[in-house]
Amino acid sequence: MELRDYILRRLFLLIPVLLGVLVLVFTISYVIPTDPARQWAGGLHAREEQVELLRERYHLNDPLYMQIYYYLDGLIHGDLGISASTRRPVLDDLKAFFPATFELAIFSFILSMVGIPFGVISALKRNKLIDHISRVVSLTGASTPLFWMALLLQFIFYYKLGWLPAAGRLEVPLERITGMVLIDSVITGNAAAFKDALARLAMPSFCMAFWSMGYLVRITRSSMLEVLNAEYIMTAKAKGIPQRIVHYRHALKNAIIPPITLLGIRFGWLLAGSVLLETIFAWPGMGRYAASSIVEVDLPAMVGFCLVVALVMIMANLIVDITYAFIDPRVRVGGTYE
Amino acid sequence: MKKRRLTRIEVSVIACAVILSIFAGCIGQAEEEIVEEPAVTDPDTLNILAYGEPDQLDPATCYDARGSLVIQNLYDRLIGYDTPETTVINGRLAESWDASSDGMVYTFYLRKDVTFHDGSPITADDVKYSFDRVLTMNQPPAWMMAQCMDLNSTKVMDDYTVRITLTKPYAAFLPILCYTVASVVNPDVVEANGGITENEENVFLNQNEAGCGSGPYELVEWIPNERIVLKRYDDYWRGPAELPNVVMKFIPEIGTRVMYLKKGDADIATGFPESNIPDVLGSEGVTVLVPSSYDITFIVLGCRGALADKNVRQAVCMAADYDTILTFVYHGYADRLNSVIPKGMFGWHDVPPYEYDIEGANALLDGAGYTWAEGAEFRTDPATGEPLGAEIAVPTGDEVRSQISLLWQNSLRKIGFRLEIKEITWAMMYKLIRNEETDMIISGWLPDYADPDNYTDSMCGSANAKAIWGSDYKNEELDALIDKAKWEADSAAREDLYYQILLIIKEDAPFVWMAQTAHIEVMRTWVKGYYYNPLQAMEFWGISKA
Repeated sequence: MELRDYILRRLFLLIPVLLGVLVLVFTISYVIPTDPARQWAGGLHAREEQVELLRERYHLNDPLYMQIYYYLDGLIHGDLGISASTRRPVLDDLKAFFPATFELAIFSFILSMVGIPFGVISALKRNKLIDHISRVVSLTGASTPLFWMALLLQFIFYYKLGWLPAAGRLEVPLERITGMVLIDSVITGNAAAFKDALARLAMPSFCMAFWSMGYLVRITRSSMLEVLNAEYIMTAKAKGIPQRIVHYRHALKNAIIPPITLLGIRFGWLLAGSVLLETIFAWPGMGRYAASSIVEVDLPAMVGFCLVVALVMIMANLIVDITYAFIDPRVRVGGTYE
Repeated sequence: MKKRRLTRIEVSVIACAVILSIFAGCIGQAEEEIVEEPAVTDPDTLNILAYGEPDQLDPATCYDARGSLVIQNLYDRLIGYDTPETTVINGRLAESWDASSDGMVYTFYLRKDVTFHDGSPITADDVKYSFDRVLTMNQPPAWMMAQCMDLNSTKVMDDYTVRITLTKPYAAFLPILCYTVASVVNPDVVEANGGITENEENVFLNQNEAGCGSGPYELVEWIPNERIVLKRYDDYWRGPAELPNVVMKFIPEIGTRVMYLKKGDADIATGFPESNIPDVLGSEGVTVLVPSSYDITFIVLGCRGALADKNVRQAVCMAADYDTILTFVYHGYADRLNSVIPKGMFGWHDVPPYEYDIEGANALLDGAGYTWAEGAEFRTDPATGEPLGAEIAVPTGDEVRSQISLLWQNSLRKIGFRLEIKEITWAMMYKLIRNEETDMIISGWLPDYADPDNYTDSMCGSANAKAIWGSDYKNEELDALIDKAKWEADSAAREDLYYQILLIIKEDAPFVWMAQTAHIEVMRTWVKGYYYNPLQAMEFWGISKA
């Protein structure tokens, strides 16, 4: 199967997957005994007529299949509905919050990739001092609670040293074009905004990266060790091939598949946002939006969020699958092998 | 001499020790609290840390404290509170006003020097447009005005005189006009951005201001989940505000807010939990204000099942250890609530509340025939033969209410009453209340306006007890008294009616009155000109930094 056909097929599969997500979210929210209209109308002291108006507006009195139909009808026309909690179109909310999460995810992702060389060095210098340090650091990263790490960094770098701002995404005026403040500050040539945005990205992205990096180091190390013990590596060494070529061309190329799989999963996870981290750093991302929409039983926002996350996860996996084919010539997308 | 190589275990132990000592060192520093008092930072901007952002900014739609805080400063009303005193109402857009002797007709004389943010003058037509807009849109806060006004109520007498004829002589009419729902909006801006639609909100004004207000500040930007920025309106009729800018940052994490305050990067933190006051108490440059508010916490006794019996309700009221709750749950930042009307408000009377009295409660239940078999954990309900008890619904994540329920559960055991605690989200609780699937709920009430009717009718009137709290409580004599007090124009007679109401409520015990909480505001000592009025959101106009 051609790569292009494979990508098209995977993209086509998006439709049933997203439909499945849609039905699942609607069904769950339908089954849970909540009264969202009352919540939106002001809670306990909401007037019955207001509650009823909201039920009508959001089709809450209709059967489940009709609710899904109305949503799909809107979706086809590019309308994801109005968020009951923010009172804004869900599409506008997603446009506002997704770039923040995406920017943070990309930054964290790049930082966490440091874990691959660390894992490789750790495996090559097995049981040496650098290996021990690398293992302790990675174990710390993987096992330290994210919120604790975040508070600790804030305390040290904001409160004590005053090197970095504690929270928020940007405090310098900036014209928003893409929604990603670093890129927007470059486009508009706003150096002050770029500096401020970069400083504010530092702590949350380090927290996220440190956590991912811990896993990455461990996976890379074990994968590398497994390959280094394989017979073809012994053969290569016996044939007198320089060690550097054996390690980096023969071993690493085969050992890199599991870390890449992990990176793909992690990237999807990063894009879904982290409620805890976004709360501590007051980062206006998808995690906080999702959490508040769940608490408020904000169905349009919940469905919008789930669709975006599903889309992102599928795309991340697709990219990982395609990357396999480039790294390992034996792998052919679509499940066939040479 | 040959050097000995470190073993793997030794190296790992050393590495762990180094990392842990770094962290421990940091934690150790946290306890030292060496904070130097910095000079006033950002002197032109009032930096406020808010725990959450508003739902919307349209005065006709907004019914939450976070939104009211912004609207209070973007828009102006005919009247308002200029001091912490809740019984003194001052003129704002109205220079003066008079009321007819029967309390039915109010005439307001407007100032002639007031303009909207777009520069256009405010006239009586704008007042009528604004009030009729609220009644037509019929959004959550509209009920306050709709109690005593309709679309025929507001009449324009001349450019600067407006007359309001009430549908009923409601004594709380003036306090209602102090609420943000009665803000005057710019008709030109409204009409240019969606106009007025019956029973619908205005999506544009939910998010924007665009010259619609006439308050001391204008909205510069609202970046969702990040911040709201206001700038001073220089032509404000009371004179320009002290500070040119106000920035409200949405920082949900309390630990982060504490650091901001202590470091001096923020001036005021709103929504500060009682349990975190020790984190800032004693910090140089930080002050904690805890004025008494009209916010109350209580437990609704559903008046069904075992709680249908007044003796049981009185007994459970006597089985709450109020002092312990106030000390350990509220950390002393709350007063005992004696009944439905908070202390300080018109209509409050010193009716003695139920005190913690396990012996008295046991005697009451013994006398009412609730036997407690030897060795049994709970009493038996003679009506059902089951253990005497009930279920309480507690909102998930509400630490204070959860702790109150746990302490109450413990003391109720001492009278043989089994309390089952069910923690659920608010959204699920509404369904539970509506379907009357729970016996009790623990909740609270914040005043909409300064009148006891906002408490008595909203909680103890049988229609609202059912509709709002899912309680079966009904006392026709009380209903009649509440209604009579609501429309009574004579102040002394009204006060006497509320005394009678409070006595009946005590006897019937449909609620456990728990606490009247303090309003906690944590700010830098350099903040000047701040005052708290329990019925009005903070006004930024007179606040300065020095």
